[in-house]
This record gives sequence, structure tokens and C-alpha cells, in this order.
Amino acid sequence: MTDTGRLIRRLVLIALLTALLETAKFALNAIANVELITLLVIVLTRKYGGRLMMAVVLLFTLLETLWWGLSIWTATYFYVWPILVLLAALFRKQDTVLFWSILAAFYGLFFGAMCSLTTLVLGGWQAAVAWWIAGIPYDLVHCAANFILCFLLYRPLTGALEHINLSV
Amino acid sequence: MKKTNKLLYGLIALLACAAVLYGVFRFTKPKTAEGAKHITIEVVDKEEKVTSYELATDAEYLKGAMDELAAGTDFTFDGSDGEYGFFIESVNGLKAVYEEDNAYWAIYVNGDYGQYGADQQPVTDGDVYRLAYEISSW
Repeated sequence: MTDTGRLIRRLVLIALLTALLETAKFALNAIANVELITLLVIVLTRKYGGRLMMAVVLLFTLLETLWWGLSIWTATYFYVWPILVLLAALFRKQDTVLFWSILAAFYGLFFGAMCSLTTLVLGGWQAAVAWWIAGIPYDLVHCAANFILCFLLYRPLTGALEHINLSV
Repeated sequence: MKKTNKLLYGLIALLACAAVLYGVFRFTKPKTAEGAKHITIEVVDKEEKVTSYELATDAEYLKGAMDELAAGTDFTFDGSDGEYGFFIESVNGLKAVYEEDNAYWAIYVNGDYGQYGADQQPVTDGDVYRLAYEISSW
């Protein structure tokens, strides 16, 4: 395949995966703190690597910002999802369901803490800590939901990706 | 065997972290007061017109007091449970749609910007709670 062909394949794949994340986000929007993005980012980063997925999550965040407007929580997306891509890329060789379920659960548990960094910049540390602590019950739900979803869906999703085998 | 042990430690660490965070939340949770309290709920609309309501309530949290107020007066409100608690969407028929013009309903407690959502804001005797329609600069 030529370089141009390879580039076109990568661009199409980035668009496709961004659409997948956006669809998954909208599908579960009604259920607070239950989301498939964490699981998808983990599975897709293992399959396609950190560089491609970094472009995907940034594009996904840009679409979210266009849809919902620039707010504190859309601003947090610009760093919270890249952090997950970095973690997934770092442990890419791991293929244990329990490992990824634990990582996804930790990510959910500290999601509020990561998001409060924006409040730290805008409102100071007292506002950030108050905001983070007030959200702990929701982080616990996020943590449990991420663990369960990853535990149940990691293998089927990995298998499906192998089956369709979209290479770049 | 070693790998299984590591994962087991990971799981234990996860449960420990979750327990610690829950403890932090419980320990630092704002204290509520039981029994009768007399409070004021003010509503500031788009034109900055203030409507004031006096209320005697046993509710521990602002949302409970708002429910009582809505049951006994012309005060109305609506909202939904979001990622970080109860999110007020409309008050007295005035809807704040953030996606359209960055509008939202802010909560002030005795003139200070509230640190909690309506379902986590404790009600204290003599307090003035202000629900203000605001436009975010973000």
C-alpha cells in the first residue's frame, strides 16, 4: 500500500472510531456515571495504539465541545481521555480481563479528582477540593460501573475487533 | 501465580481506595440540622426580578425544602439527576438551557456562591437561599 493509501486508511479509521465513541456516549447519556468510553478507549488503544487513539479522543472532545458548548466539563475532557489513552498504551501488552477491569475502575474512582483540576485553576484549591468531595458518591458509581462493564464486555469487544480486523 | 497475586493486590487496593474516599465523603459531609427551620428562598429571574418566599421546614437539604415550597405555593422547579447531583433546569417556568446560551441556575447561600447542589446543600435556620438565573462566561 502507498503512503497516501495508508494515510487515507488512518484518517477513515480515526473518523470511524470517533463516531463510535460519540454514538456510545449518546447511547448512555441518560444514565449518569455509566459510560462505555473508558472501555472503548482501552480496547481500541490496545488494538490501534496510542498515537491514533490520541487523535480519536481529541476529535471526540472537539465534537462534544461543539455539541454542548465550551464548559468546565468539556474542558476537562481535553486531558482526562488523553490520560486514559496514555495509561492504556503504557500497559498495552496486558491482556487480562481483571487487570483492565481494575484499571477502568480506578479511572472511574478518580475521574472527579482529575476533573477538579479545572476547578483548581478557575476557583482555587478550596473550591476544587469541595467540588471533588461532593462528587465522591458519583465517582463510586462510576468506579463500579466501569469495573462491571469492562469485566463483562472486554473479551467480546476484543474478539469482535480481531474478527473485523480493520488494520492500518 | 505471581500475576494472580498482583491482580488480587490491585483489587484490594481498589476496594481500600473506594472505602477511604467514601470515608472522606462521610466525614466531611456538611452537617444537617433536624427539626423546624425558618428559611427564605429567593428566585432571581432573567430580568433580575426577585421573588421571595418564606418557609418553615423540617427538610435537611435544600431540595427537600424546595419540594415543600412547590407543594404549598406558586413556586415551581424542575431538574434532573446529573453526574454531580441534582441539576436545576427550570424555576418558576424559566428554563435555563446551557447548550443554547450558557444559561444555568446558580445557588447562593446567604449571598455566597453555593458549594453544593440542591440535594446536598444543608438547610440551616435563618438562611437565605437564592436561585439565580445566570449566564456563564465559559
